[in-house]
Amino acid sequence: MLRLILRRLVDLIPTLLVVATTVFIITRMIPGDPAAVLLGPQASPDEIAKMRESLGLNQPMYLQYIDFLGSLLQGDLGTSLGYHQPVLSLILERFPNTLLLSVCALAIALLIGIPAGIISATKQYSAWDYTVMILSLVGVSMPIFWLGVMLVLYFSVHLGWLPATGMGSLSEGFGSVITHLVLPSIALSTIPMATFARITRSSMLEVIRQDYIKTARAKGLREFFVVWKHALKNAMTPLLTVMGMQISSMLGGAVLTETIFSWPGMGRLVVDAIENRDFVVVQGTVLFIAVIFVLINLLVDILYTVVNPRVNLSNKGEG
Amino acid sequence: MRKFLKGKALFSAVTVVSMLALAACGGQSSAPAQDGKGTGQEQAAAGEPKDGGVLKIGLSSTAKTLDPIAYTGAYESNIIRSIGDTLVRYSGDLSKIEPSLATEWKVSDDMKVYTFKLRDNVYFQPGKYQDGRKMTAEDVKYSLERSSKQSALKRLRGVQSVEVISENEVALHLEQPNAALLAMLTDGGNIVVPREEVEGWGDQFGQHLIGTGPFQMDKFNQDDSVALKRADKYWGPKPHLDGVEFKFITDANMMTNALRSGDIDVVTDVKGQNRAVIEKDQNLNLQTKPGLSIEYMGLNQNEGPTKDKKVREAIRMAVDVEGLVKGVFKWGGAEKSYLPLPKASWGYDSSLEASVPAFDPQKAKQLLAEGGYPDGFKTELYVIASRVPQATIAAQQLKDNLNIDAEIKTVEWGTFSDVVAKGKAPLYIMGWSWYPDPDFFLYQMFHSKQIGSLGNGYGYNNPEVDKLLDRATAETTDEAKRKEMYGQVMKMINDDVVHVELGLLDVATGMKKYVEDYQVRADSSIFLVNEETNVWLNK
Repeated sequence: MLRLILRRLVDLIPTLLVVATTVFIITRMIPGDPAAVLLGPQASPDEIAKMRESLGLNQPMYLQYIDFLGSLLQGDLGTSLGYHQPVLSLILERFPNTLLLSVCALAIALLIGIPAGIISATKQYSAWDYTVMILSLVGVSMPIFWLGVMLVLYFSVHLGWLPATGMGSLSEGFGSVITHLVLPSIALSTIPMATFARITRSSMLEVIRQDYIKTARAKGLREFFVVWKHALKNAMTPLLTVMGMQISSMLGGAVLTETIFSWPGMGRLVVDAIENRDFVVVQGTVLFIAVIFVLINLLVDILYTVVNPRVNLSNKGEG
Repeated sequence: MRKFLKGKALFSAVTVVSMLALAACGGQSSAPAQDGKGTGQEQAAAGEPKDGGVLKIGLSSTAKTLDPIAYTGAYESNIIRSIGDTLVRYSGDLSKIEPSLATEWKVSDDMKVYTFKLRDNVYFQPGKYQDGRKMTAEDVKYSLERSSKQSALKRLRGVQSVEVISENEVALHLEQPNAALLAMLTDGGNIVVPREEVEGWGDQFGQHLIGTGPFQMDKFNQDDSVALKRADKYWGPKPHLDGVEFKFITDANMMTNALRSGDIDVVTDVKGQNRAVIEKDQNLNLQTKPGLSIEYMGLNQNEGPTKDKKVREAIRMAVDVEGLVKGVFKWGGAEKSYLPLPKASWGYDSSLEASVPAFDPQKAKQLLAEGGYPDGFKTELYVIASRVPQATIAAQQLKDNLNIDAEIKTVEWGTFSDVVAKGKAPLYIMGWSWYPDPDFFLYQMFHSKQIGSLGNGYGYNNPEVDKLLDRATAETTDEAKRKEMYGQVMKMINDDVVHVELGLLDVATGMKKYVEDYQVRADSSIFLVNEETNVWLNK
């Protein structure tokens, strides 16, 4: 297992190199001169030229690329044009915020989505099943930005129960962070919740018709154990794949949710950087997100072996 | 990203409609907003100011750095203004320059030396590298030289050196005579800061700004908010507020929601349908006044059909500006602009409005024929995405009235500024906003030295205008005389047809009714405490 993890980590290097190169090229292809965007309408061409020089934008592209890779090797993601701070520290400051939001949203999605999917599967074609499937269809299709605003209009503006935007701070007490967390996590959880419910249902439906489940029932096991222990474990594999994908995209910054709720996370950092042509931040964050993606995928692969011992990752690709 | 932005537009439409619906359901039939008037009456009714409370202000962009030499946005300078002071500042109505850290000043006869007498009772807020020491003339020298030499945005141009004359006297030596220097000195980029803190914090100074203002930094929460608390040794009136919190809410609809829900007390930069939402809410006030931002269509003076003055005159007459402004700003927020200078500038001369020709499609058609294009022509109209509504209406009017096919080129800011500055845009719509001194509008947009800059992207070159613009800053600091010269300049520009003036934009601020003595200023700057104003919460 350890060897496997090491091998996968080594595999990370070419992946990241490709990502780094792609990001470098794309950020240079975004139309618009970062210096002009940074300095605004009143800057003279002279000032813009000086700014370009100081940002190193006048260097030939290949030199910029070598510089970029060189710094990257030293773990330096560069200094933000707008914040005048190292990109890595900007990311590390925001990542915990995104993590907090994602974990909460994921917890809500799992706690509601999976049981709903299981009950749906065990009571196929019942009123419950139809309700869950319709709700999950609505959930998957509902735009977060719309749901977010509706939640705020009702719970913040109308009822006045919860704050509308921002993250609160621990200095105002733990409650401040919790109350700020409720609406964005609910908004962010809907799509994964609905997806989990649907995947759990279809995957469970496949499993509960298999012989070993019949055997378990014939042995006289209680239905609860049959479903939650025997069936669910085998139904987990596709669920894990989907979960991995959902977590990776959430950790990359729940762009819409963070923008709507002014949540100071990775998503907002990226959007703001793109709007302001802060290409150093765009580069850095995309790379960081790529690393997160790869690591989570690795984690999911390891979990496969735990859930289903028949999966042997070390033989993967060899036959 | 594009999908996201598209989503954003849809989102805005859907949510605002929902908000209006909810507001209507609430049955909140309130009196219409005060529009900046009547606040005096409310003041009288409000009674004695009370101390205490934290004012929460929503800003529409995220402040990244508050370092005076590095900040780039107006929202950042508004936080800076609460923490630091400049030597001089504009009065609330922007009509005159008033003392701040400097109590008085004089200008040498050659207008190249400005001497300032400094206030004697000014202390810095305590920080990590000094304990709240007294501000000295050396600090003024250090801060202004730092701004003049290191500021990327050159917020202090043309200053050769700053000389410390005595303990409380400094002189600014200019490269050239400049009557508009004081206007520049009012910029948040020119506040006085202590050297120890700047050098101690290095790149981090932007998150740990120290100044001499009414509030001091308490906490800088990246991408979320900046919290300030009352500064104990502030030299001016004691602030009624215990503190201020600036919250960054980039989504305009959510900003309004946050105001309605009580998360914040004041929203800046209210636009579009959110004006109606705020006006409808009986707990809120919307205060508006014409601001310092103008919008115009620039007409290329050197290339294409608009090279011919007759064609430019035809275009100007074929655009129904009033209709355009009403169409774009359905919910209010702008009025027709006549001159390339906002009304809030002291240089504005309303007697010139009559000389701007009225909308006359018939005559326009005739002029275009005289210019050699009886059947119209094809051209391009450059804009950034946020001004597509203006461009759409203008292009439609040009098509209907002159058969001119103006293809709308929607480009992002960097490309726009590049194309326009290089004089490659046949037509373009953009906005301009700066200090109230006319120099920052007229020189920037019409002096031939600015060709190659965004301001004079149409390549306007009139030696007479150049001469007057130079004289207006080099000959005298007398406002009346300068105003006369700027009047002549605007008359010539009007005759030469360089712009089609479009909208004069409002500054609109929404606030809770319990916010008292909050001054909405035409330049959108936020001053919470000074000799003219001291915000307090009536709750």
